[in-house]
Amino acid sequence: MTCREQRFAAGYAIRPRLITLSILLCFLLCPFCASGGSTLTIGVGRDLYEGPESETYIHGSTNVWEALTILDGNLEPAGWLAESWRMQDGGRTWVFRLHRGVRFHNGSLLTAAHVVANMERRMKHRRFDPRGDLREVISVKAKGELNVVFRLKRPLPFFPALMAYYGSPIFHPGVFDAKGRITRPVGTGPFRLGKVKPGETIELFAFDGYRGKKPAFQRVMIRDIPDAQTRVFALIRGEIDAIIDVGGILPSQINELKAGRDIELKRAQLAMTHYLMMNCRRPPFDNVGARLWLAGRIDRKRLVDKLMEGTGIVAGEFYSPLARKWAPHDRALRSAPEAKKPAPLPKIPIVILLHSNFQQRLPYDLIAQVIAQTLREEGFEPRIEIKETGAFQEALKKGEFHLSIQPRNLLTGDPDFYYSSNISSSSFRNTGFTDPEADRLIDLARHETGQQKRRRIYDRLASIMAANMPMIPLYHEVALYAHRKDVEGLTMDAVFRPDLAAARPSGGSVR
Amino acid sequence: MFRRVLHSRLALAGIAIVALLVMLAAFAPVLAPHDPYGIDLDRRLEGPSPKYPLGTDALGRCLLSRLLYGARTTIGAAFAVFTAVLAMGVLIGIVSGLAGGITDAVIMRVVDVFLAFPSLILAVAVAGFIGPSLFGVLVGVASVWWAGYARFIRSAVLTARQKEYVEGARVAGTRGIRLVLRYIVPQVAAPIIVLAAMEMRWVLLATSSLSFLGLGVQPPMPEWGAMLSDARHYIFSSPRMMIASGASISLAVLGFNLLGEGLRDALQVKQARRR
Amino acid sequence: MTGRATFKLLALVPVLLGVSVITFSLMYMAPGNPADILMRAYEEAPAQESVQAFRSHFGLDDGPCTQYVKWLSRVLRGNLGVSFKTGESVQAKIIDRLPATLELAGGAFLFMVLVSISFGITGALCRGRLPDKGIHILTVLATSVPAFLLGLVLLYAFGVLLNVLPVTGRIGPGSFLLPVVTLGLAASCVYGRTLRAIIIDVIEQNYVKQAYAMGLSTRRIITGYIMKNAMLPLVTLYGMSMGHLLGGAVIVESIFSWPGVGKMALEAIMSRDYPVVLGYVLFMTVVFTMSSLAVDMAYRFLDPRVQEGIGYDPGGDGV
Repeated sequence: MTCREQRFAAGYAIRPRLITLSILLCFLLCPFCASGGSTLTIGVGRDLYEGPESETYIHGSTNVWEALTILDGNLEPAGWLAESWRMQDGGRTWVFRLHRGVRFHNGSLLTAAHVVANMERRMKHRRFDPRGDLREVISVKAKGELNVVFRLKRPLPFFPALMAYYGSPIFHPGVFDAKGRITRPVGTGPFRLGKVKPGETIELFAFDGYRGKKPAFQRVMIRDIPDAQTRVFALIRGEIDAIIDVGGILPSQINELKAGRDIELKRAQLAMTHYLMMNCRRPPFDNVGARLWLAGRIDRKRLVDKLMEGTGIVAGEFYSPLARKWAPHDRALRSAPEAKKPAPLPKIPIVILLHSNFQQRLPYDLIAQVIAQTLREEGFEPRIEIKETGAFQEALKKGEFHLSIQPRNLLTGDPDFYYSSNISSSSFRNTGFTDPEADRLIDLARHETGQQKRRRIYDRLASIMAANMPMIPLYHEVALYAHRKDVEGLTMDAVFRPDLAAARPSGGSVR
Repeated sequence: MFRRVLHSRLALAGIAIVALLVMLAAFAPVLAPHDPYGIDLDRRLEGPSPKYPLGTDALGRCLLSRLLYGARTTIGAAFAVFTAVLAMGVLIGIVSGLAGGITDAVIMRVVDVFLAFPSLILAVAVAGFIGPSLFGVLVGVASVWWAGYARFIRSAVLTARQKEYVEGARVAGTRGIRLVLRYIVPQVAAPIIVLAAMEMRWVLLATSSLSFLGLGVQPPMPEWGAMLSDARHYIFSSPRMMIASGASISLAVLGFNLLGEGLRDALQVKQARRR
Repeated sequence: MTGRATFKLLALVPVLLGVSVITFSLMYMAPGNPADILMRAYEEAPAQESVQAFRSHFGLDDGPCTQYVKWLSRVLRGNLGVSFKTGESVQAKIIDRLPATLELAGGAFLFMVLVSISFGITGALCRGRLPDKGIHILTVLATSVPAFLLGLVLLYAFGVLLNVLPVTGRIGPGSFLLPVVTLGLAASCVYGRTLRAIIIDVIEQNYVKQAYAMGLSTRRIITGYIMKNAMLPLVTLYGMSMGHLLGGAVIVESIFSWPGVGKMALEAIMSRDYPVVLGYVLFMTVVFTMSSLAVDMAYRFLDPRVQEGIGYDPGGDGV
């Protein structure tokens, strides 16, 4: 028997069957294929589904729910569900007036009582208020059909900013169960939730009863693609129409995307700043001189120029300059005094702590390696430790680090948010810097209703910061996002919420 | 047996590859043209040049130097895991095989438990528990692998024990360590060596997979799995980075693959002849 | 036979207990507590009272033993608990994602069976000639490339360069091919070689030689004589491989964004979502052990002469 015959016997007999079978199998097992109609498919690097045990069930980027206010381009609160608001009683009472005719996805009209029920859910079940936005609220009452009255323990001049976006997500109260969980997110946004496949897809449908401009896309699919490279491949191939999320595209992928002719690459400056945190409890950075020295020694401009491919702005201030109202008063970093190099600690490695979650989204490991190189040149022994969430937080808590690169969002657009959550010595995130004067000023400014007085207090805080350098701001985030050229109008705001309602097929063609 | 191995071309190729890699790793400091840790932000992602034979990586470091030093980490880690696994497996297997009774039963149930685990998940959980580091990966992989060896060696010991002359020695009063060293170890050594060579590639694959998942070595230490993981973001602009690290891993696995296959064939021939 | 099956099933109980104790202790002793981890929205710090509310809601203030016993008693009542992260029931989560993994592993299994049989037969019949050598070289290469590299290369080659197959998820028939090949290729080649050896062994038996002498067609001989005799060892091999395919799915799922249980487990480990990790490990262990039990039984059924258990197949989740 010749080899050819044998091949006939073996190969030919089986291979066609193999192919037919595989194809048959594929058709059998894949019940759904790409559906027609006007669908926008978005790829993100994380699951936007958060489930009933979370504050909002689904991430705000889905455009399913809205809040009382939202931050505008200058990080100032603008009306969203609330049409207007006013302060009474020296800042201890805030009255929000809702838009008339806002409809929930189930058709019912939004009233003040609904807002009250939402606030009471988060006040009663504290785990749904993880940032403690409502901890100074004494009561929330409805006044008439459209007015909501908040009474506070102490005046909070920035309360409308505190209520922005994640500060006051509003759902139809009928969806809350006895334990305060959301059984189904019925919101007021331009899109209502369709089928959710956790870790896979989130399906959204345009909401016909939306009060604003109707979305051009009838359906939006959000797909969770955790691997950064696969995400970009999928966009280039047109499996998804857009990648739009913070860290959705890495700076190193810019060139890859430029190669795709059908793709429009965009940038958006976010309210996010990346810091080099220093452990102010352990040598060498317990010493002010050492901190100032490090701030001067790290060439942040070179880091950003060489590594970030234009996705960062060298930070000259401690928080996002998008907050225009506050930014000019806070140019403290540039006047940081020259300091002498601290003596290297023999045999003690300088631990640079990173969070593994950011590995696929932010170029922290590259930055850390450059900083490590700088420290090595100065005679230190740097060591990079990338830890997953649990170990990372444990290390932070126990102070088992010297340096750590971390992002911070200026979620309310107000300096109080930055100072209270980072610098205040009672803050969860404080890395060891304590200054009674700073604590006093933070508390003072938090409750000061006079705009001029507040500014002056923050100016004083800024000079304390410059003199003590409790953390080094490295750069402000400029996020990359991209969409295929057959989509237009898709943008993302400073807290990376995409405006899905504004997206439309380009040239009026519906795919 | 060893003459047989030398006659097999496959095994020879395997030996040659493994020897080459081990030599490269051992002499990395001499062979590497540059400091594998020397960052130069002005030379990022440069193509191959006389100065940098394989070009530079995302931080302007010499890729060739990093590959050479990476051989130390990657192959060194695989050998370390292997030594640990073997030591544990041999010890527990021999104890279990010789002790018998309740000790044996208990040890074998524990082995069952470890064998029943989805192995990669156990390795990931252990490595995650210890924290991402080279050590974490070593322990993670070793904690999965030892059980199979313990069982394999136990059964080899049981078989060896039944041999007449071992029985004879026992009757003659040889016990404990002496019995093991003198009569049992020589019996089980050959299958262990073959198994070791065959399994080395799994260890290599597992350690580099964990590194690829980000659970392995920490930057800036060069390691092939981690280098490949970093390189994939530059697949369009600098595919050479991915090719270089990917080819290195594959070559190492290939070497052990061939070596193992050659050894196995040689041993099988020997067994067949004895029959 | 039934007695043996019952005995084996009973022997499973301590194994499962051991697996759950080890998993639980690993998760419990791992650094960081789930309340802090899961309460943290994207990167904002949780208020202390919110953390406390979370801890008491999930009973995390109990000691480790109490927590374990509570968990176990729930499991015995058929309840794997709820995910810390999303509040979904763990069963529902696993059942939701299982089809994707089964599709992937099943597809890879089918691919493996078809490819290994065609490789095995071709290799055996053309022994020492070009096709055989070609397959041998392919085998050596395929087993040398790690799955994560193979996956990336396939993605790049077929998805981007040739632009013929989708690169993500379970969308349309094409999306199925690359992950299946990535998962199944190495095993296919190895089993192809094993089958080749088995067939060569069978061919040299007298009755096959006789069949050739009688002038039966090659196809008849292959299906009627050779494959019939090669069946037994094959069933074992294939049966044992199912567990490895399910385990190896972890990496392949991550690369291809395949929404299966492997990807879920990896994410759960990273976020310390104990109930999900425990549920997954327990579930996979049952699948693993049951599949080897099934193989054992099938083997006994096919060949009653067998007394000893089947040999152990060390290592290799197709990583």
